[in-house]
Amino acid sequence: MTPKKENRSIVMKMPVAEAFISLAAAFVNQAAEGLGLDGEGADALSLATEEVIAYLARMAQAEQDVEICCSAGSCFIETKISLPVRELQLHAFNMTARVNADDDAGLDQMGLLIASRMTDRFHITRSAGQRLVLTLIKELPYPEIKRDTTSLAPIKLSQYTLQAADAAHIKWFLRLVTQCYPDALFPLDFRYPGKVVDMAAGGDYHIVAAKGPAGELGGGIAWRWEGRKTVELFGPYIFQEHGDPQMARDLMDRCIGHVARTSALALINRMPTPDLPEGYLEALEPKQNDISGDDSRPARARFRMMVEETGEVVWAHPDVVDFLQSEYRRLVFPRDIQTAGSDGEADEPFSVLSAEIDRRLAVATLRPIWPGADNAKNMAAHVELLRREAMATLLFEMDLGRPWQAGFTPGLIALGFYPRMILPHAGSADLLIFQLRTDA
Amino acid sequence: MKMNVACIDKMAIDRLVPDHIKCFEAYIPSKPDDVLMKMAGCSRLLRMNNNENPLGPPPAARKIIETYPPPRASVYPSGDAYHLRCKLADIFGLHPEQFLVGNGANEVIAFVIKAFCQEGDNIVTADKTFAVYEWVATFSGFEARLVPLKDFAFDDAGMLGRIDERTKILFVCNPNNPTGTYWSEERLRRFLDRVGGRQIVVVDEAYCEFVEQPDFPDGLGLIAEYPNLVVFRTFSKMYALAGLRIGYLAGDRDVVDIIRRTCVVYSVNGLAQEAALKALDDHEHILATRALVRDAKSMLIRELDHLGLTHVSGEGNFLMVRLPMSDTLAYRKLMTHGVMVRSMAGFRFPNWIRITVGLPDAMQALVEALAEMLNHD
Repeated sequence: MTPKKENRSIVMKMPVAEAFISLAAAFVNQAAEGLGLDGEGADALSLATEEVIAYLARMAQAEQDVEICCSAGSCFIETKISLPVRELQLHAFNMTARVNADDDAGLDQMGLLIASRMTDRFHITRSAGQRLVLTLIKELPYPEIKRDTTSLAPIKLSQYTLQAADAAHIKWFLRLVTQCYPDALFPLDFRYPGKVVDMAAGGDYHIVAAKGPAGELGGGIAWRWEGRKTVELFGPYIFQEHGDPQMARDLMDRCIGHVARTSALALINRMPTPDLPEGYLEALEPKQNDISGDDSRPARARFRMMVEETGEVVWAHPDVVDFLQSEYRRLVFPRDIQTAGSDGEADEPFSVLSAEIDRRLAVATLRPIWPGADNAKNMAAHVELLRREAMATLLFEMDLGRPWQAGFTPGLIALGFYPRMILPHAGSADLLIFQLRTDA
Repeated sequence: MKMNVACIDKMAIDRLVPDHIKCFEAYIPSKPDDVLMKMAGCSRLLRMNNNENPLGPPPAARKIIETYPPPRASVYPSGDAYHLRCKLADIFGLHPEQFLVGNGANEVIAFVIKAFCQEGDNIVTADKTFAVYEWVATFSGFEARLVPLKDFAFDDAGMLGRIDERTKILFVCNPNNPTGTYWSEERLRRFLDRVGGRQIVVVDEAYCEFVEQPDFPDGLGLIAEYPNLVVFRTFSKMYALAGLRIGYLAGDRDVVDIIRRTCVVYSVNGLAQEAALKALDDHEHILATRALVRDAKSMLIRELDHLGLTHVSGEGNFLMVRLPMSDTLAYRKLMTHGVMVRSMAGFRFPNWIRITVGLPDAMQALVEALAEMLNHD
């Protein structure tokens, strides 16, 4: 019942001390290269680790141990640094961070700023009474799909079989998808066939192809795991000119049959194609969010539960409770909405946000990593920067299972964000997606 | 006094966990009725999701439950359900040592897999059937080879085609849950002949007492001819003792002797053993339940036809209905009416629900809720 194959890992435990900073750097460098990262990438990950350990060594009150785990994902190498502290000032990890080199605190943050810029992604997790884990991720490099030749789409197939696509068929499938469908109907990964092949081999992507008797490729469907509870579906893609509703239904049945009896609670399709058969998925967004008459834009996001929903508690700021009640009623989701937000308690000074950018669609998604008293100011700085980067759509993902994230709501609303939709079970509970109004 | 809070090193714990367990997710059962009702905002709950018998236990078993002396709760039960096995042996003409009683049939599934499978082995069953064969095999680290149903029934040729030298057990659910299809005695014999004793064939007869077809096989009667045949039965369905968790397997003495080595003794409580013992005597209960199921099914099929819904109705106290919407959405909508069905995505039948047929009032409530749901969709 596996969402994906387990990663290969190499682990080292060492004291947090200046004397061992170079050991940490050398370990990550060699481990990352051994796990398949190129020299440049391994150097970057190594430098990032060195800066984090150096920062820890300066901050540590007494000698403590740190554990460094280097792992290979299907298309990335990650370094997990398990920190012996519960709190850290990590605001340099904001993409908007600037460091004042004139004071010691600024210089302390300089190293972290370098670390954050050396990696492609990062995340931080913590839980009460446990260590804090900082994960630094470096993606493997892949060439973009060649779009200078066109593949012929097949005529209607009277017979076909559904098969898990091998590497050659994945590449063929991606050529046809990127040729036959607008950009908004497939994920950015599809532009990097080597990456998708590696991810499929690692169990991150699953691609099923409909093949005709002579080996023709009539259509296909793809899905990938987002965490342990959610599967994101792409397609179905039918390459014949007038579609094939039965093939689309068969592809959907295959996908659902595969995901059934796994840990997936929900199947989400944020880019439904016109081939998606009726009745399989439910509309995620309220009707007023419908974008009609524009085939290049995705229709309303869709989903289905894979299991019988029995309800759970979610945490939200009072400002979005009305929206949540209305949406949960429409989606027929039993939820106990508990309010959360600041009651004047002491906050940590600096918040941290991560930003994921899709320049192809001009979409940026912000995610809260760490709460802080400056969250409104920090978000405003991110919005300003992303606008300068010509991002047309700005989204913010709030995990309704983490009460501290509700604290970002007033700042979001003040900036002109509105709650757009709920993604059931996509976080530790549901995710609430905010979008910045275009007139804001 | 100072307390030390032990911090769990998650990465260290992860290294202790076998790969096949890391890949497996715990089964999350339904929440209790009171919690479900509160969440769904309904004031009643009509359970049509677990194929329980709404008539309740047979009167003699009911009396045992009502009069069970509390001091007996402090005494260990028979560790191997001695009296119940003797009774089963009397009724079915087998030896008591040919039976193993478990904490529900789910437990005996685990006994059999544990007894015969080792690293690298596999089991063969259908893709759309009772999930526990596949689950137990997978979380035990064995491959579950799943053969697609053919016309909603177990595909005998397909299953035989998936056997290799590492195949240890073939699981057949007869009649199949959830489709209600069954293999006749002739078909089951043909299958057993072709297996030729090289693998264990488990025939799960959880719903056999509901079947009135003359060609339906009596698995227990075939054990003498086929020593590799193991039959599962349960007291949860027809005998309505699901809450007490008791089921059993039967097989050749040598085979059962092997399985017994893996079984957990004392796992079946004393009340369950005594209630089951009495339940076996009550043939009237079987007749009354069959009549209820027959009438309710025919009423339900009429109403489903009226609503224009496709359905599959075979043997057993359940039927499947295809909906023009997601089955899990239908589950949520029906729950708001206090009607609890089984959504079938988990059985790999997306957009189908399974309904346990039952008392007329419950069936009427279901039909009304379905009609309202379809009108508003």
